[in-house]
Amino acid sequence: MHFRRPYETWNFGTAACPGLLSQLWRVDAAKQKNAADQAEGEECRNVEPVFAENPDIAFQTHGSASSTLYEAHNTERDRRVPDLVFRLFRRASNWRALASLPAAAGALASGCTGVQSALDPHGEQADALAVLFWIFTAVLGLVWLVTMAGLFFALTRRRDSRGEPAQARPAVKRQVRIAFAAMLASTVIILSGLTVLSFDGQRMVFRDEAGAAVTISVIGHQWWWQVRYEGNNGFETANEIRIPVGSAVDIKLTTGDVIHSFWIPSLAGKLDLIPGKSNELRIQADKPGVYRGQCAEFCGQQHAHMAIFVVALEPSEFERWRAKQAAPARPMAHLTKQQNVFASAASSPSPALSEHSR
Amino acid sequence: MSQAVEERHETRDTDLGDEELRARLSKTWGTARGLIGILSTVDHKIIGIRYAVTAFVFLLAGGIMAIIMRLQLARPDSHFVDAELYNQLFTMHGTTMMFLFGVPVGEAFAVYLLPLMVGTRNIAFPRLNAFSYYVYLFGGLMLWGAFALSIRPDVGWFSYVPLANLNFTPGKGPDYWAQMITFTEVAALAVSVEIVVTVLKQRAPGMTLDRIPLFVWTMLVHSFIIIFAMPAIMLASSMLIMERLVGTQFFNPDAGGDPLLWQHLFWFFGHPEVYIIFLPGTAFVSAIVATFSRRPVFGYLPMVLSLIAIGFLSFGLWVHHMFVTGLPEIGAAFFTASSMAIAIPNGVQIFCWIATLWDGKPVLKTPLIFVLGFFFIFVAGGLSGVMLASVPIDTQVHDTYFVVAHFHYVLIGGTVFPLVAAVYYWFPKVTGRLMDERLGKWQFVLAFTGFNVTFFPMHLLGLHGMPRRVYTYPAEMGWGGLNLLASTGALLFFASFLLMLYNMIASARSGALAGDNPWGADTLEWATSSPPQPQNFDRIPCVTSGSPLWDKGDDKAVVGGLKVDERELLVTSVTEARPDIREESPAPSIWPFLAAFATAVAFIGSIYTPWAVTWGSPVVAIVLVAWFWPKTIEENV
Ligand code: HEM
Ligand SMILES: [Cu+2]
Ligand SMILES: [Cu+2]
Repeated sequence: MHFRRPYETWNFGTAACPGLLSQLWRVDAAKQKNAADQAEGEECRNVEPVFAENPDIAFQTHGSASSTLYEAHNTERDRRVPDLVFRLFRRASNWRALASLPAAAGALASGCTGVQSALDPHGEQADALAVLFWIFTAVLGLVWLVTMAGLFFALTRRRDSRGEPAQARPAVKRQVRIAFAAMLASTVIILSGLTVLSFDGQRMVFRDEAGAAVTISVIGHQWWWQVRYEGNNGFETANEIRIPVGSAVDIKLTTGDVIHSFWIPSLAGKLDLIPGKSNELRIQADKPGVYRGQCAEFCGQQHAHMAIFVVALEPSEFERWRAKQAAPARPMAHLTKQQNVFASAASSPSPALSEHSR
Repeated sequence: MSQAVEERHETRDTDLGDEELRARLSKTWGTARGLIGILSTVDHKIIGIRYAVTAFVFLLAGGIMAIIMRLQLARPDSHFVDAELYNQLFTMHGTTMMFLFGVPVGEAFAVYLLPLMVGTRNIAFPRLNAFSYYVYLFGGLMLWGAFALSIRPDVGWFSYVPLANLNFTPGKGPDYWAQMITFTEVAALAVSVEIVVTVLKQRAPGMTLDRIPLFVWTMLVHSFIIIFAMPAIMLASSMLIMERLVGTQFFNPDAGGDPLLWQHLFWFFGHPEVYIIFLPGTAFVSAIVATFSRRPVFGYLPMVLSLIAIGFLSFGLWVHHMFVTGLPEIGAAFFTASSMAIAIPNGVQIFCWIATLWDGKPVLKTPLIFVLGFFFIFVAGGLSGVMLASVPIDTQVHDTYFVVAHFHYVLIGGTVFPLVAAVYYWFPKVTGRLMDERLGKWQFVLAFTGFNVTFFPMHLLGLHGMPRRVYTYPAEMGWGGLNLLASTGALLFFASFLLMLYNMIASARSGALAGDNPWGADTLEWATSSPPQPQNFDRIPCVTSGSPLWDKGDDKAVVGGLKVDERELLVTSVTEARPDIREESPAPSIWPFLAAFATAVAFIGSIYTPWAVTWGSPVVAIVLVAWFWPKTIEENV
């Protein structure tokens, strides 16, 4: 059977991504909205099985927006950015623009940033991390340039003393000393500044506010993800997490065997799943869409194929989906099957979402 | 032991003319011919060359692994190698590069050069030195021999548990891996002790602490780091092998153990390890910058202090490899701050070198050109390290290709580029012939372009979401282009090493004759002939400044009074380097080789049965007794 995995169809084809790929997979955002119902175009048909039961998932995803994307998202930006950073840049009217302009530039320079990119943030935490990343890059890039300029001038400086013989201990010139002291001082200042910024950004990672809308347990296995929705009507899925857009979701991370690492770059930084330990990660998605992630800690032979998808749904849809899942007790059998799929289909990446969500 | 006997043999160097002295000393200190002679030698120069050649062979082997990996990753969904083999490849590549190339190559240069630089006739504990080389060689042969026999570790160069435990990784791969660590660390510890003692007790008279060449200071700090870091990894690797072999439960949470214990122990060694590999690079840079700027390095005191600071700080950073394991916030903050702090002494060193070039008159020969490549690459790698030090940023880029890019920038930029520079720089001392300059410059062009084309795109790949240690990736991820670029660069980069190999072989045969001091350098190794005599110096030099060969005046002071027909060294005081006593230096012996062999058999046996330790120990003990059997009487008669 030839079907295309969901991430092929979505998430590619941004304005900032002019490469070959985007032409192959470019799907107009508006068309996508109706795609599931109308089965319009081969790509969309291929995706159909996945969402046959949820025809109204918004197919519009983060990658498929046009250049209006950045303007569309500047509301409430301030709350998502560490205060200190914010204060520094308060006058900049548009946070998303700040975070994304260099991203767009980078994307232009290097092709598409893709469906699993830390530079294409779509959640509170990932936004803040991207901002921090670009600040660091800018500052440190400048430091590198200054150092290289210093080296260049050191080499090309006009010598007043051509053919001078080697000297055991020449008198140190005053200019050199001053320059040295200045460089040292600025190193200390820059590093302290960056450390403070980093501490501030750290709050985003370590925040422990109560009251997430949904709590989900994710259990890592070689080489698949077991996802358990807690609560009275708990149920399980595999390799796919559905979350409501706009509300915080807590993910409890534990492992059934070795160490894995849960990482959805567009939503949040990664966190390990460690035997004997339970870690908690909060994610939140801005927009409906599918966000891909992948195990980030080497966990054995098929580590490369341990992908996971986060599907962000409008809250109402999410509730409908959850009710439907919860209703009949889901047999565990499908999980075992899932495992087999992984074991057997070693070389076919990410044994599609569709296999188990049917 | 009568006075008479002593006196009869007591020809002192002051009694002889230059010609005869040289001949007699080289007979005393020489290495015998024949297989036994070769295996018994204790000449630090011969052992240093063996170390270096072995390390280069491992570099090439690791490089071939890397090329195969890059061929696999060049295209998405590729089937050039399968998952199993790929995992073995990156494990062998990382392990070989870190343990069998990175650490030993630094030791190699130290073993060869330090005694020459401090003006003595042999390294301290020369038999231990021979032993350490054989242990290292056997460890490397064991790992690669097992690889050839399809016993292959495949859990990465830091073998995280529980993946490396028996139930997830059956077979003997990780056991060989763990035992190889034990081998190479025994070797590194031995060399470090020799270096510390040589530097502190065998310096030429007058070489006070503030006249020690920066190269020597750097290797001293390097050795202390090894002495404090290696025990952690030997402990860890022994625990791992016990976990696998006799079922201990150090890392099993169900039995009260903790998998994070492994990570703490490993990285408590693993981070200093990075500096262990990088510091020899800075040692080469200090020597080369000084020589080619015709100036001693600017800011001797700040340089030495930053070296010492790096030594201490390198032990306070290990947790930054564990930022995503779910640390408490305050702990994470502490290790962010300490990781940022180590950038300061590194920065100081960079500024000092640039200031030296600024003040002096740089001569752009191949060694200096490679050092300039070092600045370009290493500074970039250091700065991406500052990014990784930030916990929030690390949560995104940890364990991605961004990190792969970062550590190749520091390891290759910080160690391999200076190393190539060092090869061009000291090759004439070792062989008596200069390497070809034109080929050297071509090599630089290849290496510099190849390196950046390979590793710069990896930063972007990591940010675009590509995790490290994946044997393939789906085409739809859009990583194909950058990966193809990286693979192309890797071929160029690898070719640059083949060019160097050719240049070395060709130049060793027919390069231009070098003379004693072809670069007009200032340190004592250039006062010896090229290649140096077995005794290094006919007469022990007396040092009156930090740049002895740049002192004005033609007369070089020497000290006299060492015996000519026995291996005698001058031992001096720690700070002032005042002559203390004459000390006998051990003669060649086959026992270190046999001891290393016995140790190797016991270690390898212990992979299969714990009883090997029991049965191996007495054998090793017997060999050691033979090694240390006192022979004073024979020698003095
Ligand atoms: C020809 C030059 C080199 C190339 C093309 C190369 C390439 C690579 C690649 C592609 C990986 C990543 C494998 C993966 O994560 O899937 C890797 C890992 C690594 N490389 Fe290199 N490398 C080179 C030289 C070096 C050198 C000189 C060193 C050290 C001195 C080094 C140290 C390492 C280490 C420690 C790893 C990590 C292995 C692991 O994940 O367990 N590499 N290299
Ligand atoms: Cu995993
Ligand atoms: Cu994994």
